[in-house]
Amino acid sequence: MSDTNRREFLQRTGQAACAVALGSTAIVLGRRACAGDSWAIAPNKCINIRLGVTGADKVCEACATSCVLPLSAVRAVNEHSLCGRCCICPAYFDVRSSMGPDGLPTKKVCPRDAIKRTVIGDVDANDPLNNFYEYTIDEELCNGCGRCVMECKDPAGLGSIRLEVRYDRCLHCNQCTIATHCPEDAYTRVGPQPRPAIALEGEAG
Amino acid sequence: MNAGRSSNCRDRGVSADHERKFGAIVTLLTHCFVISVLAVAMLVLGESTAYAKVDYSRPVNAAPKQQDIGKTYQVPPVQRVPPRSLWIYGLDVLLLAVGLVVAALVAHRWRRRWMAVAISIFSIAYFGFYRQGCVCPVGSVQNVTASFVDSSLAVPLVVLLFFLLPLIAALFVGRVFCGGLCPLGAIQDIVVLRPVQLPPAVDHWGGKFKYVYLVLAIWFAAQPAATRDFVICRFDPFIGFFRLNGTAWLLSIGAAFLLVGTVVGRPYCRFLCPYGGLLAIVARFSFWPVRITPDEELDCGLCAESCPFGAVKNLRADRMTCLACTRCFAHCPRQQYQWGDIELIEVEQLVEAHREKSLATSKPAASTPV
Amino acid sequence: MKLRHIQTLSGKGERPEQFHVRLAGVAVDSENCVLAVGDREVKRFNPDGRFDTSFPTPDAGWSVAAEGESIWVGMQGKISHFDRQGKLLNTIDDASRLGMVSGLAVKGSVLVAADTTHRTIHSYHDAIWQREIGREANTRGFMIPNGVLDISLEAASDTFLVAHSQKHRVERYRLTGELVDKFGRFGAENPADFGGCCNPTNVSALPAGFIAVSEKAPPLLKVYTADGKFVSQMVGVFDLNAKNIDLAADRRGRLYATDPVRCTIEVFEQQATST
Repeated sequence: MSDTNRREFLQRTGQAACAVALGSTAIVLGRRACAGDSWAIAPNKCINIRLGVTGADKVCEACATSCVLPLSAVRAVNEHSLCGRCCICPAYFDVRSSMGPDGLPTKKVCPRDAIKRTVIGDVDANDPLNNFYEYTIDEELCNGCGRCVMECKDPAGLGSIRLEVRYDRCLHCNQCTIATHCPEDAYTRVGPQPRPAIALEGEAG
Repeated sequence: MNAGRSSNCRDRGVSADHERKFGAIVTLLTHCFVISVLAVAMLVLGESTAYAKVDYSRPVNAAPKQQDIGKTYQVPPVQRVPPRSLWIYGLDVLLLAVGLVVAALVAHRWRRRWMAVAISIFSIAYFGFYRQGCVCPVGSVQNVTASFVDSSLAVPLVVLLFFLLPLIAALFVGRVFCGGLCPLGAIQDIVVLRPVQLPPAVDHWGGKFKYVYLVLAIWFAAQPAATRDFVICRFDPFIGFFRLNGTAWLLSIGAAFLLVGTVVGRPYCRFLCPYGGLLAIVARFSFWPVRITPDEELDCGLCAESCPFGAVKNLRADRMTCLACTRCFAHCPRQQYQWGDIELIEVEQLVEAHREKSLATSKPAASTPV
Repeated sequence: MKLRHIQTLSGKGERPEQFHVRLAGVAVDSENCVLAVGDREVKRFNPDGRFDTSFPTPDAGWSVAAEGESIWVGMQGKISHFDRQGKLLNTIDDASRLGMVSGLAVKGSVLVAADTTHRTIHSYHDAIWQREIGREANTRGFMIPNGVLDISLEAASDTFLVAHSQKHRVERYRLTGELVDKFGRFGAENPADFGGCCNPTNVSALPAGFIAVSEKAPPLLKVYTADGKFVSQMVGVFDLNAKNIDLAADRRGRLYATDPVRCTIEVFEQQATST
């Protein structure tokens, strides 16, 4: 075999090997590849959402601190249809703080002051406790630390606040750092079109 | 002209064997077809995630109703962001695929440097700043490895395609992905100001580091889930710029790379990039490697100094190290002639002048030891 | 006066005295037997805490009350009347008006039912609806984000107590519907005040002119005098996630408190203190 022929043979063999390697990678992994890469937080696994552990001092901040984004792709969302609209919301006020002259606690739970409290409906000006209040979370401020989620859930609250993934912010990284750091594997890949977070309740994810 | 093109190879006998080449291309095209059909099928079918029911009891619903609250209060809609649509996922892949085709055309047909710069700027803007470096083919090596090792881990189709497409392109037309489509390469490419030629030994042995890094990255990605680590992503020196955040030490390493990159062209790509290592292996066997001259090879050596990455070896673009940046094309007298910048007679003069000059410089050099 | 934990009844399980999933309310009958409603049945325990018998309820019961030979169980939209043997005598089926009945107080022919769904209190006379109670004092109904409105009869004075959780107070109404008085306010530092979002959740009148209330998050019991002076508190017996701890007192001075998480009934004894 001449030198030219040998080089030609090696070249052909290399090309075939590369083609086979790429093709088989595509076939082996393509078979079980998932179409999309959306992530969701399984409510029954997340320490901050699931029932059982309570108290903002026990909060798991992995979603706020692990995300590669400066402002995490996770934020808290208040499911208004479930919100009790309490006057002294344990997720808004730090109910353990001292009471101010208005009869309300002086400190707030949110370290970034991302929760807005507005009185709604027919307002009773004389008795603040006789009113309903709406709590909305400012997406631009919330970093998903989960303190309000921890305080809102049973038994203190009604569990209307949850942590959700902001799909518009999520970068769909090769490796999600929140998922890596999640102590309970609650941060899971759920496919391209995840159902609303409330539909995930009671599911292992 | 045609005769000139086919005679570019030194071994005329090899390039004449069109039939066998054609057969191999057909095989490859079949592979590509299978891949794309598979990809489309996956996108259409979507993912069927199996959910298992577990006990989760919501506390008593004591939320006040709309009529309790009074006036015309309406329960506001819950803030919710719709998931990224499949089209936007598809857009990433489409832009990558189109970008590869354009980069291949630029490297093989259009051959203009400004086009490669335009691709770089687009890549920095879209894949870099807009998509903030995710998904990137460089990191996808780890996803693919982890998915191979852990059968329960599904690799997202987008990541799989991002992994495969540049490699397929490399097999056909060389490392055109590196040319400017890679945001990490592009950010280094635009800071190449006064490149110096490194000694070939440094290039040769320094280039081996990327294979070491590749093996390390595969090793870490192949670990069981608890200890698995994606080191390429973790130690990505440039991602901090795209995301406008990051740890100080990584940002400073990135800045150092860019600073060194002004004189030593693309240090990360040449010496460290693990995916570059993979691309180099595949590009070693590419069907149509990047050629410096558009037609007839003159063996003049006018291009030898033009490559900032030390990829011109033996008067040819080295298949493994050529990053398809298109810088050398402008130095080729045949190219200049084709563009109409010079007359045919000037080509001869240029080549002759260079030959005399190199003889003049090499003679004293050869005589020094004596 | 202080409370001392002396006994635990029932629990979660399959044994006859245990509840499968749910324990909602507790009451004490005239013979100091304990009646507990949960799952879809009422269980009776002897005064010494031994399991006696159980009988089924037509629906999931949310509250129970006993008077003389009668046992009343509040459910969604209806209130059933049983005799001591568990025989269903009759049912007030008033689904159009009644929501979830989470509190009952019966004296003679008067029956007062706390309706959690509509956040109001209905009064019945011989099973015929009379009026809503508390609308004058609380213009928007009772504010109960905890999901339970609990009441307790004060037999001697023909009054009953309401735990109005969001307003952090205990209200006292006559059986005829007038507000007599109220006590309590929000506060985190003084144990006499009610902390958290919505406390107290449940209330029970104790013999000898005391009132016991339960709180959630953290779960605890507090004892007040009949006019609202703080006496003592009891912490640490219940599951930390317990809420809506229903209370009932017998004539011997024992207090029964449910732990809805563990499905247990905790028994407390009153201990006189020198102060």
